[in-house]
Amino acid sequence: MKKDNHKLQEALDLMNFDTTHVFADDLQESIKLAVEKAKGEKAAMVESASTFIPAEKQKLENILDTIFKRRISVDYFVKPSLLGGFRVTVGDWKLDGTLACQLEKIQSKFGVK
Amino acid sequence: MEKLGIEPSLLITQIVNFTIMIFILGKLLYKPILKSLEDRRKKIEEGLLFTEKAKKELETIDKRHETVLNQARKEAKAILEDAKKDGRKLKEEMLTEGKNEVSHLKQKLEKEMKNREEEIQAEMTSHTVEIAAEMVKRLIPEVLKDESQHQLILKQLERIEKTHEKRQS
Repeated sequence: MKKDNHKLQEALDLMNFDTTHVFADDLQESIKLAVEKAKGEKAAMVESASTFIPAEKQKLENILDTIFKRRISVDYFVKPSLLGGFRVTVGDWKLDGTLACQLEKIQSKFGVK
Repeated sequence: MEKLGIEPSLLITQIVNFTIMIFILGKLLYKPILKSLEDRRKKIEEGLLFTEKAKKELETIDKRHETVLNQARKEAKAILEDAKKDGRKLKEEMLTEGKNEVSHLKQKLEKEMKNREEEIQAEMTSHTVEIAAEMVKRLIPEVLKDESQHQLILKQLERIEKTHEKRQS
């Protein structure tokens, strides 16, 4: 386990990656666009690398209610390929905080498709 | 005179005969011969004059010939000098052109090498990032267990909440 952590840290250092800041800098902008892009939508899709526990679900739903100022039903899906974190999709609005997304952004920064 | 054996009548006759002969010879022989000699003398004189004239003309021609030759030599020398100058100029031009071309080629090669170096560098970086990303993809599921995953989810939720509150205020 210690050896694996060390390997992971090495890999993350190589990409200059910080696990506590997994959202893009445009989080504020994204939330701003949420209401506009999700106008009229009543359902949200949440995909995560691991299963949301009830407390997490509650917290997320409360946040979504606050952002959209209305009740939105949420469907949860587990996708291990997302590696870590979760992403929310409501209509045209998407908030992606998954590790897979961040990894993709870092790769595209270096010109890797 | 009779004692000497000379007869006066004979002598007078001889003198008269001689005179007549001289007269006749003079008229018939002497004058034509003289004339002939004179003609010949004149011809010779004319011949000499002609020779002299021809000699002078020959000298004039020789001089002219010499002048023309000298002129031709001068012109040939001038042409040769010009040709040498042109040759030198052409040589310098070719050298300069050659140097410029070499310099240009060198610059082009250096630029190509630099580009290639950059390409290789980019490829290596890209490849390294790819490998690193692949390693991360494989290691994260093993390293980030349930507890860590939930911690991550909670942190993200907190961040969204804070960001939204910040916007509202």
